[in-house]
Amino acid sequence: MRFIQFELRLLWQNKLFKWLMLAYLLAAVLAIIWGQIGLEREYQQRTISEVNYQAELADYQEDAPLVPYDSGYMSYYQFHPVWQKPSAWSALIHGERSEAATHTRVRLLGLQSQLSNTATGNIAAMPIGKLDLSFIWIYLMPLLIAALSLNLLAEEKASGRWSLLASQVANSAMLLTKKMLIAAGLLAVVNIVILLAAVVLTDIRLNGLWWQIAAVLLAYQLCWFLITGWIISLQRTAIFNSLLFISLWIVFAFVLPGLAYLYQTQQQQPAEHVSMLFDQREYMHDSWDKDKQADFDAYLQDYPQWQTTEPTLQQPFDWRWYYAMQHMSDVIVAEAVAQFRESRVNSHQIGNQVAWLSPLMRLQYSMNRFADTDMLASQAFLDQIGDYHQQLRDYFFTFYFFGKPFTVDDFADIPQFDYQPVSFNNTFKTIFNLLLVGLFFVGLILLQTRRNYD
Amino acid sequence: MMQTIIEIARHELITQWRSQTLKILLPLLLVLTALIAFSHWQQQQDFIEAQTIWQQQNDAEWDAQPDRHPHRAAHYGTMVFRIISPLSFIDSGVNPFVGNALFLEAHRQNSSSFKQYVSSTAYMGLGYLSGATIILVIWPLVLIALAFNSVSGERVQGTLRQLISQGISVKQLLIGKTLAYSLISLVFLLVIFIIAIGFMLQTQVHGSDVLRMGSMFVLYLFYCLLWTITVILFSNWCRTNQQSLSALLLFWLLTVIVMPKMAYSLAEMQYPMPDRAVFDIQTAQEIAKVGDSHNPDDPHFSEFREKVLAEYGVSRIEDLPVNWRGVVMQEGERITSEVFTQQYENLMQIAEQQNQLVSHVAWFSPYLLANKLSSIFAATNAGSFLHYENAAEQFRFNFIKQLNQLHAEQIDHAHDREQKVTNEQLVNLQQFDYQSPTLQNELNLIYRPLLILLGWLIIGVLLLSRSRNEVD
Repeated sequence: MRFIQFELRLLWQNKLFKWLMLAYLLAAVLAIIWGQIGLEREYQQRTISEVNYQAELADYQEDAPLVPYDSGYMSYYQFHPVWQKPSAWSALIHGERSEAATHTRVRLLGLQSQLSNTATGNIAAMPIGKLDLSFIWIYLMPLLIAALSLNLLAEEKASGRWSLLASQVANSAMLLTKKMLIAAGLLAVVNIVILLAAVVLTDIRLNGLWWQIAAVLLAYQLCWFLITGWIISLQRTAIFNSLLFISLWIVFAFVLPGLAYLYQTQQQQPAEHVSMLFDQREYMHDSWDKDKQADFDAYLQDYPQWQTTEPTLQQPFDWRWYYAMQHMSDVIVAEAVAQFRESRVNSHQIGNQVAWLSPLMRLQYSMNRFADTDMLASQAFLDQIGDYHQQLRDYFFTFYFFGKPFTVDDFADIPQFDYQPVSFNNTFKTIFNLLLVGLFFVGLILLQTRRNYD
Repeated sequence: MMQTIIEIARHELITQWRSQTLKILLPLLLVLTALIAFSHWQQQQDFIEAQTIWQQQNDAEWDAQPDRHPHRAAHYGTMVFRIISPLSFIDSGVNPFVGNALFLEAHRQNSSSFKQYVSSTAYMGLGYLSGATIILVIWPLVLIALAFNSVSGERVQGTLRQLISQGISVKQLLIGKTLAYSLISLVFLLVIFIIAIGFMLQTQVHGSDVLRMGSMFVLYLFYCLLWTITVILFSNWCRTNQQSLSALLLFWLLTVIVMPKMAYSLAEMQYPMPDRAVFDIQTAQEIAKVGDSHNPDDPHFSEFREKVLAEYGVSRIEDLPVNWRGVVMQEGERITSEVFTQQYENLMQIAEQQNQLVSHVAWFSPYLLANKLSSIFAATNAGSFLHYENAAEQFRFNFIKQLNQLHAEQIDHAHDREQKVTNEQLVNLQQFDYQSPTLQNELNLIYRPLLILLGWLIIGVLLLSRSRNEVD
């Protein structure tokens, strides 16, 4: 106990240590506040679109009941908002959310060409990337750990205290381990404080997810302390330690993620999914020049739920035919859409595999999964829009195909989009991965200690 | 004086030549850069080819379309594909982050999000893996690793005192060492650019690309020089090697990684943008404010009808020599396009405000300056993308306008929907002929960051030459 007290006092007197910890804590709290402001803005944007949506519907409601011809027009003009509702954690872990539109609107026309809308945003900012708490944790915390503990031995040696201590204490490696544990413990405390601050400042709750994220974060911290420990065990100069550490960090943070991306892109043809737009467009417009009645008959064959409709199309124009063809334009590109989906998920999986080699990548993949801000979430959003579009079709087609007037009461039953997050996460895999890397370095440390004594 | 400096530089180079660090780092980095350049080159050529083929397919399909009603053709629309700059393989700029296919049709300004690849770029938190990133982000680290102790080491070992007693000034020492590390940077850059030129020579090279590439080389050289001076100065200022290394690493971390990200995050906080849904809503609301072409009682269009009737001296739209629907369509298109362009400009104005704020921070981050210049030189900056988008919208408007003209002149008002114009009339419409901006057009973007960078360089050189003979 007295040793700990002594070391703590020593650390407290160390200005660098104090300032680094303080800077880390401050940056983290700032990142939390910024993240929360960003999240609240997303909610505000959603409110704007909802207010506008309700006002638009209310306009139509004034003219209700609408005959099918008019309600057909309504569906042509009426957009329905869809939103990939952010989780509370996305305030801290922005992930891939900037890469695709998370809030957009769809109408009853062919869906796929509506989904290719880009997100608004400052293009110049995209290559630089965001500074959120997850960046601080994932990329900067290892450097903090290095600054705190990398040169414990080298500094003690340089100051001459080491020979004194080593002569008094039987096991000098044990002493060093203890010193590192104290630094690690303090950092862990600070990290817990940050996590608790997140509970206070954001909508994050102190639930199972919180504990899982805390556990993963501590495992990550442990992993980097072990890497640092290995470097110390080499018993080289402080300079060598720093250079070796920074090289490792660059490999984990820059080289491996970069090569993983390169490998992912090598698996794809550039912009291969543009054909989706081509095919959909050709189909949609060719249908105007084809025998409309024949196409409509074929549609009714394929979708028997609408068969009891009046089989003859109205002239010169019939919404039933129009929406049926819009739907078919999605159907004929279904395979390309499935392939697009597979490319995305596959690419995500490759990254996830490479992450076994880099604790940094592993934590990032894991964090983005926790916050539901990764590719899987974005794909789930697209899938759910597809389902939602189906619901809209089922709902509105009833009026068009069975000649039902759209009454005042029917507005309330228009399906609403409600994003369902992908709820699985990789806690155990992540901790296992991080411990595995940690154990690898423990092995190296043991090897090195044996070599040191020989 | 000159002699001494060259002698110092030569000595430093020999020392580095014998050191492990350079022997390991330089080849490793060169291999990595060459590998990346090769694979980016190959992907870039694939992409350019794919985009060209898409464009040809689009044009062929347009030409092959049957006789169509002009408004049908206006909705059928056309696609344009942005062909990326041939220098993207060195600095990819915004290219991996934006969609490069635009679908142009009546009433709507679509931009497609089909990026070159579907993979996420979010995991490259320190920067997209490209030649430019290696030069601008990683190479400074290598310079730090090589030279952090170049002066502080001499001081700690006492050799500095010896040198001064031999009549060599610290100033000469610093300049000599700067020269040595600049030469190492030069070799590094030369190898990379020779490889790059080798790739470029495999295709048709335009004069403007040579100029752009030359500018990039000079920029990188300046940037490396600035970093070399920084490292040497820090090494001179710090008492111990460890202090010098820590200070330099912290400086690198702040100016290359933290400040740029922080600046953009701060700018985004300060000047928030509407998201996609809200932007679309705002645009639609603005259009509705001007006039709704589909509403027969709309005041704007009633007024417009009176005006057109008066112009032709008739009292009924049926008596007009042109098809009223086509005229209305064009008026509607004019409103949509004007409002959209205005709204989009507002959006870009917000982006511009954000970039302005960042450019203030950039005064203190040579990386941000060099990064911006590099992407301008490579024609992969945000501006080049927006220029293309803007030109495409201009083209879209004119394209639809021509179709509306066909509608007004070739289609009778009675039984409008059943009529068509011939394929030939559609084929004769003007095609998109995009001219990308030249470096001369972009001088206003270039000179400011360039001047700041030069300013820092001058300050650095001044500091070097003002260094006093302190031995400990």
